[in-house]
Amino acid sequence: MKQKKGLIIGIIVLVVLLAVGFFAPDNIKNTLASFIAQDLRIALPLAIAAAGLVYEQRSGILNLGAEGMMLTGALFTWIGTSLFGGNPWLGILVGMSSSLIMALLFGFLVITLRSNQTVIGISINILALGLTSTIYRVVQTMNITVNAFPSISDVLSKIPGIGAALTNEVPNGTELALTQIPVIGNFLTTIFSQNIMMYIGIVFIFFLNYVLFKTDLGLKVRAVGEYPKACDTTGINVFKIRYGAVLFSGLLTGFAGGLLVLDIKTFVENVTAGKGFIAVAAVIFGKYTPIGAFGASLVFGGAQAIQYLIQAVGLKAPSDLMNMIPYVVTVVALAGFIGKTHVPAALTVPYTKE
Amino acid sequence: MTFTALAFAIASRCGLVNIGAEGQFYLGGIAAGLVAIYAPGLGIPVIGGAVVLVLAIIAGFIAGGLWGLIAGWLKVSFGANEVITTVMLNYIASFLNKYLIGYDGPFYDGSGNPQSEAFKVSFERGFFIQNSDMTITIVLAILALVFYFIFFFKMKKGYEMRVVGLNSTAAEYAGIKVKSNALLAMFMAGGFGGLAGVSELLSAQSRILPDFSSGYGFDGVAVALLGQLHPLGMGLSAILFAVLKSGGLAMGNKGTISPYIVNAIQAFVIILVVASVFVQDEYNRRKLIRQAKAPKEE
Amino acid sequence: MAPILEMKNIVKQFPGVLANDNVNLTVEKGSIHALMGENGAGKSTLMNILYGLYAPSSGQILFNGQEIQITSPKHAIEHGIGMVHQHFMLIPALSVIENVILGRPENKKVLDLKTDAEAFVALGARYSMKIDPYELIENLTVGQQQRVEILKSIYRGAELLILDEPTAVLTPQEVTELFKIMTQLKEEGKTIIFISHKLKEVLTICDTITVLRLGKSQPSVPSAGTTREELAEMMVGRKVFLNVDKGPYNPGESVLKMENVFTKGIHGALNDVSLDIRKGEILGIAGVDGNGQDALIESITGLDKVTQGHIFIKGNDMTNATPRQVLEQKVSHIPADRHKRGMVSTMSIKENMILISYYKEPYQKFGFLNWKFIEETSEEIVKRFKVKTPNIQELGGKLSGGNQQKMVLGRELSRDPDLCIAAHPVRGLDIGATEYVHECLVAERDKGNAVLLVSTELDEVLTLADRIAVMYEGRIMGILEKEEFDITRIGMMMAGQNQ
Repeated sequence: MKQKKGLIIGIIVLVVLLAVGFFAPDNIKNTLASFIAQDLRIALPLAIAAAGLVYEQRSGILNLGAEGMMLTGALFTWIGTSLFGGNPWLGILVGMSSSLIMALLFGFLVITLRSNQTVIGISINILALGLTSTIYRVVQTMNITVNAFPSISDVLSKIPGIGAALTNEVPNGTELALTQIPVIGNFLTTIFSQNIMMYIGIVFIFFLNYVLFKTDLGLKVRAVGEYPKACDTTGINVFKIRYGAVLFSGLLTGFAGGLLVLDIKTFVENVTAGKGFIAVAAVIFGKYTPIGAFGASLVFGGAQAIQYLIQAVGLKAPSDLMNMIPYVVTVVALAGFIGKTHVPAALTVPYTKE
Repeated sequence: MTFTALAFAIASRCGLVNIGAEGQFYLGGIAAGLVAIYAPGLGIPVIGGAVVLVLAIIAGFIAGGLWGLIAGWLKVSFGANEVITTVMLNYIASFLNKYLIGYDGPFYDGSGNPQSEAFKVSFERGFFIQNSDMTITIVLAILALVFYFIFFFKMKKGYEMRVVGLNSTAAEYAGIKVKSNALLAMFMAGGFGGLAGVSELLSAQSRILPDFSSGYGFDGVAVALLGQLHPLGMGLSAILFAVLKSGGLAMGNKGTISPYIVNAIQAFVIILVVASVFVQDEYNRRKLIRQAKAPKEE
Repeated sequence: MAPILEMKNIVKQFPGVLANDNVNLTVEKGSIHALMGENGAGKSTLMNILYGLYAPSSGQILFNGQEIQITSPKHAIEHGIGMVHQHFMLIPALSVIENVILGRPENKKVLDLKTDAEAFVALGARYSMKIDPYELIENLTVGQQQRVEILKSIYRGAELLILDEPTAVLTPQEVTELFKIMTQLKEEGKTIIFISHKLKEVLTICDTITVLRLGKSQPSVPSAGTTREELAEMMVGRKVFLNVDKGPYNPGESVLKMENVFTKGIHGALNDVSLDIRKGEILGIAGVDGNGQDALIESITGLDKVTQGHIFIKGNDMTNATPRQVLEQKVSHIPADRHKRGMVSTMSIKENMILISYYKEPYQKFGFLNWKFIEETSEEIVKRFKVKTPNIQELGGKLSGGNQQKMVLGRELSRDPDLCIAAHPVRGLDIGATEYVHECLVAERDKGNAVLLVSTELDEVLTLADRIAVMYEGRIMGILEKEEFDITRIGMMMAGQNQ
């Protein structure tokens, strides 16, 4: 029932967008389209991190160190990309390995040593902030080139046979053939002209949702976060599932950090600026489902993208106040939506066999 | 650092995790700074230097306290995780500060740089040790630790708060009001976070600048955890981390080594402290088993 | 017939406790075998070893004549051993069928719930059970959950089924239902180990009985020809007096009066509850767990909001008073869950002793606690209520269960209450501590104070109470006078029937 409500909201939003695409005057259409494109770009890293955190929290582990893992992933993606001559694919792998190590440390402390998850999460953040900033100062003089992921139109144009039909050649590359659609062509093109990772990421999030609710593994993850003892008695290895969830989530938070860096093409100290915490909030706001968290990320992304919208409309507002909006929205979302959703019963409770 | 440690420790004693000392630091600093800038100019004759400083301290405490209270209120009324809300409030506070003294802000001094006017009064340096940077705030810090000890271990309100922190259902059963205790704890915690801002700003700086906290909030968490929430422990670990930090800052000024390395060290220390609890438990458990087995083998 | 299971010389050492001391157990195939013993006698430990949850310190397990090593529940299930725990191992937020197949090695990667659901419903039908496989566990009654647990084990191929205190949560009628299922399983050749401390049940349903006492096993006896008294003596190791000495019954004026009370309730709702307790009597509340007993206590003690009706304590209207206002009416409360409510396990004994009275003089003066006075009174209570502890600085959580309860009891009774509310006061205690707690409660009554005793152990209520109120789904089904005490009638009322 609850999931259906989300679906209905999603459909309504789509219908409204299409209506705007069809009937609104050009300037509003363009502003809106770039707002949506912007929103998606900001939301993707949040949603990817949040999807991993959904698995982690469903398995009973609250990872408040997500911020630190994201930051680590961001720095090492940046370093890795330049080590591999700007290759974003290999770079992000380096980033993911680095956050995996952080996750391993986190997992060892909270699962094996049963330490307080909140305290360790916070320590991971402090550790990551210290390490990344220190390493950054050392390597910042390196000559660094960061290439973005290829755009969707570039990828499509290379598919033999249908590539030419789906894309157009333009002076400095390719564009989607969507432009040829009358009335809403440009509107759609602005929205859909994303890099390939956007498409992979969204498909992946839906896939994760499917795994969580339809497969044996997903059932185990959900069960372990509710009542680990019961899982133990049916022969599930609680530690294995929890470690798996922590490490998987570590990979994804690192991946998300990498996306941040590849999006802005540079690293700065504390580049995540609370995004890891916002991802945790997106998990709660998204009712502990990957798709829900994606929706929540779009809301938080929108809160950040709105400053571009306001600038585009020509309103003047102090940028410092605008920068506050995503954080304020996060706080409001947390306050307004907690308690209306089922929290995994064993969240933050360490498991011990005897 | 002692103050931000107390900001964390007081909330912890009541079962809350206050990562918001950074934001409370800003708010306290801003409030005290504004008092130090504008109060002397009000033309009220009784307001002398010392009185202004006392007012600044009170203003800083209240401002930080109210900022902490926001997270407390969100927690008790809506159950919002206070770790996330306090972190968000840290960012909001930092941007608020930037706005207030920025080009569009009401307290911009018009100099071309985002900053406020200079303080008219501040704490006198060279307190106790001549020519040092030390000010009377060191006494305040010690007093704060003493207060913390007396409050939690000798006073009924502190006892009440500890019961809430250790077992809130038992507190309910005993007729203790859980929510109002949580709110009070967050106000007090925020107040001490605010005092940290007051003492930094009016001791070491001459005006409100953007990002005037160099991570004092997180330092406080580290100090409190290393000190195991014990007043003496926190005092000692504050000194330890202060030495580390000033060393780190000095290194940062000279070469490519980041002052942030101190954060990494802090984190390692906390992790070791937390992990050692497990090792100790495990040791005790094994010892008990050995003891139980011993008489049988005789 | 050949034994399906032999456990030989099982030893299990916990930190500080020798839970199983050379235990021997032989179970015949196709029988119902009782495992009896007091709380803490080692029954659950032994079964957890058999089920692979604990590793034995030493000993041997033979299953179908073969020696086996059971290192995890997975092994146990593979060998055909199933267990229904006292606290069900079902996940409330998941559906019946998800619970049934959870963790099964033969599950496909992508789940096929439909096939399993159909097979499971068919299995249920064989035992005349109707089951909605897609219903969430949290929406089922306790009895239904238990049946799901039993079927789950059978569905997953159990030949030997361990039932750990299965009747503790059931009404007498539901117990009869359970026994029918057990008999049918036995006829189909399954073996059942039935853990209980209820003498009558064991003698009714079981073929053979093994008693554990202080971690040691007694030789098994056939249930035919064994009497209740003999069993009780085997369990305790001495003659047991099942009666408590009470003074004459002289009820005085009313202490607590509830008039048509309704609550919405965090723990279930109250529905039109009226009762009254007089000085010098024990009013027992009987009923299956979760039928509004918690809500009843919470409404009296101010922990839950009353939506309609009135509560009077000694004539004062205390409807929706705060917990503190209620406690100040000289009401003491021994809560059901002492760890959660009654004490702070990470605080010292002396700090626990002032939990209710810390704000009063002379415990505090001008906002400062008077530790000297607190220590003196704590020492006194510890002595008077025989709390075994090295000193009063010890953490409450370090005490044994019985001593924790004595600490809570001491704190509550030393406040000299007019009304004492005791919820499951002997849950988890051994016989010695149980007797002591009962003596204390009866002493309160004999002093002329009122006692409200909530218990799911019918025997306890029958022995101690002067009148019994039976609760079912938040309602009082009726209040019986001493001469009306009748187990069948109470049983019917516990199941919601009243003729």
